[in-house]
Amino acid sequence: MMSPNTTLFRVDADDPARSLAEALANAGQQEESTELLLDFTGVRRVDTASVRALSGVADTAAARSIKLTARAVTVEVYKVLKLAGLADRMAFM
Amino acid sequence: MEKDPEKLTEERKALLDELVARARIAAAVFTQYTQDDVDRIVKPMVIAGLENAQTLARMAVEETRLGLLEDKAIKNMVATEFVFNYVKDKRTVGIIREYPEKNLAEVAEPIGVILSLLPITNPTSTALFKCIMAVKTRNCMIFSAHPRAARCSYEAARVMAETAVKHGAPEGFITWIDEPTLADTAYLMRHPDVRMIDATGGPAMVTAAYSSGKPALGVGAGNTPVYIERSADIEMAVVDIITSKTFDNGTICASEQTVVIDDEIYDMVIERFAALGCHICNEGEVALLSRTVIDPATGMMHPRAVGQRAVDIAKVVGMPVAPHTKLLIAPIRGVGRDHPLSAEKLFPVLSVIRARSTQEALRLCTDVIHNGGTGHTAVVFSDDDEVINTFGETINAGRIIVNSPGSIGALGGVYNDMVPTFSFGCGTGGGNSTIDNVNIYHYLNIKRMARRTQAHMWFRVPNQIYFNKNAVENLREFPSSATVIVSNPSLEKLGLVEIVRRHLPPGTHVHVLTIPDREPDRATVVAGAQTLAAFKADQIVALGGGSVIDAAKIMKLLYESPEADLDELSAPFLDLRKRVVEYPSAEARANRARLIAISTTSGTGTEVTPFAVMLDDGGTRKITLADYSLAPDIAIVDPQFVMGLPPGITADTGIDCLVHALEAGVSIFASPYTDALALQAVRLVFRYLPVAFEHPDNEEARAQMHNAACIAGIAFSNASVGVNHALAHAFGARFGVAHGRANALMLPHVIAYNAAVPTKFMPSPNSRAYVAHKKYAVTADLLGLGGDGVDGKVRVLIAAVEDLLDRLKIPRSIAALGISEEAFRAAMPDLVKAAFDDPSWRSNPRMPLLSELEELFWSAWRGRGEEKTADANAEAKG
Repeated sequence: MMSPNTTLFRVDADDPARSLAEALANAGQQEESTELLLDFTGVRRVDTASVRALSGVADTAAARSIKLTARAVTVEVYKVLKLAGLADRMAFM
Repeated sequence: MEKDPEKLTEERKALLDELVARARIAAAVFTQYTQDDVDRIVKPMVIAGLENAQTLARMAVEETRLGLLEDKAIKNMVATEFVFNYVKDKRTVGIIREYPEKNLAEVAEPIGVILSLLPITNPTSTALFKCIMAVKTRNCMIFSAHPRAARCSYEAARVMAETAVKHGAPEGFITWIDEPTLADTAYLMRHPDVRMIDATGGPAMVTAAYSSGKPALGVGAGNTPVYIERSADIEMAVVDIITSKTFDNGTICASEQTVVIDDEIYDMVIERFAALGCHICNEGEVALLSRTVIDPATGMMHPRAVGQRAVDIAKVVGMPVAPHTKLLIAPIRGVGRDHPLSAEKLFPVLSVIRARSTQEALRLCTDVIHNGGTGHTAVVFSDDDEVINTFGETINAGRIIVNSPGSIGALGGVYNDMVPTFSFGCGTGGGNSTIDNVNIYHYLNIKRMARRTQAHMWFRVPNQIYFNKNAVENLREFPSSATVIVSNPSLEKLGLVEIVRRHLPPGTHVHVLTIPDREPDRATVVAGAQTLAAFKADQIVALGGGSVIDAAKIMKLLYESPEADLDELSAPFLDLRKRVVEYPSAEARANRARLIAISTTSGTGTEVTPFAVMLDDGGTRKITLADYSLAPDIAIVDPQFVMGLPPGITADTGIDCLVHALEAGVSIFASPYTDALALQAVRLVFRYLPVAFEHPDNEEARAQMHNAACIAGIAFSNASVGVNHALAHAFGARFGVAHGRANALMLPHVIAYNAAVPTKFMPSPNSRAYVAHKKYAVTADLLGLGGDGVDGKVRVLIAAVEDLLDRLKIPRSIAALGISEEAFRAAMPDLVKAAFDDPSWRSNPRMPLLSELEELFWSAWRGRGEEKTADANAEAKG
């Protein structure tokens, strides 16, 4: 169940890097959000640009005390986030 | 140059951190790539490397001032084409190898970020090679080039990286340190996100890599000895050595350094070197080279000579030689610090030394390789396989190159089928973690996925079993010229021996060997074997209970294999199929005799089992021998031999039979084959043992109990017994209690123990769950005992066993035998030790702790009728 202050952001399966960059920009503008929920449905692979963008999102969320949550992350992508040091900076559902 | 990473500026550290961070992300992303993905990337990289081979070679020569352009171009092509040829069909992603027959699979896991050092001697070829390794294994590499070879090294890396990324590799998977310093490299070596150091470089860098605390693939220096043995093809040897030693002006660390030549061919070899354009130095020139191309302070080669042409070296040191001289050949008289030219020389100066014998040549080659090149490369030219093999066994080198050039041979793939590489492991002798030609498998964590296997099971029965009354008549079927009947005085007195003698084929020469009416000891079986030998027996008829038949089995063993060592053969083992000792094979036996077992009790089943028990150490220790070669060839189960059994022995042996069946039923080696027999034996015992006990003349009861004993014997021959026997052996030996009675005293307690949730499960690949309690419940059902649920059925089975024991008038406790608590307590440490040493429990479903063995002994001492630990089982199951 999403809280009223959760902002949902769908990660584009075809271009996760671009959409995560948008999420990064968006995260900086959300005044009321206490949680940013990234929906990875359909995302089967991420590239280095996506990981760097996600790292930026995590930095921004941490700076603004916004909880960062990801959902529908495949185990392959989860392993990438784990090895890149990002998995410990967000919650998964 | 600054070496201390602590003195790097914060700005420089941040730059290096960013380099690693980018590589870490690329490495993470790389884990998603499939085998097809990486193979699609590798091929265009290889083509790009081939297309740039000459350009990169030119850059390398211009920047480093080492080696030859032509040879460096060839090296670049080997580093791409030959390496690709090796790796192209190799799996490096996911499951890379499978061993279905072993249920094993190997799964590749990338390493991640690798700090990779590049040498000055082979800068571009090594970079090309490592880039291919990186992509093929989904790793990321941060290159640190030799400062005097950075431009060409990084150009090679750039060509490969750009091509790879263009074809889908993650951005940043290959990076490098611009204008590298030793401090940069030292900082990265200690960086937490660098997973491994791949140090192809000088000894200082390799040492630094290994000292960093990180896993490292450090490779070592060489000092390649070459042995030209008298049978060698001299022309081929000389041409190969010149080809190899002049290749890239001798910069490959596997190139030849000192040639040891057999005295008989020495002059011919030197003559051929001279004829093919090499300069043979005189004593003065050798001395001159010794103090110029080798640094007198360190005893190592002078860096300015590395990779230079022979004529240029000669010119610098002031030594006149012919134009186009290929090599400077320096005859030396020994190896070591006093002979400077015996050290490694990565330039076209080659030492030669005369050997008066093969032994001396091998000693000299050993001295050369241990003079700075341990574990690296050695070369032998010979037509004598024995010499070649001796060389290979003697010289500690990862690459023993036979009848071919050292440097190009060691690279692999050109003159031989070794794995192509540009990184030579030198093993522990060279201070390295590997002695291999470094290749894709060194850049992977290879995980082993081991699926559960089932141990092969067996079911063996004696060749022939004759049963029912007068089955002894079948003895006539077995011709023999010399038969020894082993029995005891009681049975002889009862006339049973005479019955056997009467049924042997006419004309059989018969000798009766009577042994004491107790469990056999060493003296008895040794004397028995001597009797068999003296009599030249071709048949042994063992007539008796367990003691006689076991004695006959051991006598036969010693008769057939006089060298057999009973102490060794009774050594402990965990798994019969993997035990250390081996019983004499059928082929190795000095004599052969058929063993026919006729049991005169209904319990041990020894007429069909591969076990034999004897007393040792003055009767205080039972030792158990177990091997299928001990099993009798023929069993005769004739109830006429048990009709006169006294009730006490009927009871004790009958319970022994019941214990065999119950233990075989719950053993970890139980199988559907043995289960059927075990259950049938239990059924027969419950039905006929009380009758045989109370009505000794009842022929049917006697016959069925005799069958039950044999059937249970077959069951436990294949499934083995359990902790009940371990306890009974220890207790029986210590207190002189008959085996069957000792078993009976333990039985109710052991059933309760096995039916409880184990403190420790017994490792058993064939069991998918703990089923002992359920199998007891099945037994209770077969006997029609009732009971609710598994625990209830176990309880009624225990109660039924206790009722049976009461009906057979078996004492209720060890205490009831007159053994005081004090005496029992005093014996306890020995009892527990003996029980734990006994192999019987190895097949028990529950692994007994020493404390549990002690508790079981005390339970038996207190006696049956008390609440059993099965209730604890029920509690544990909650």
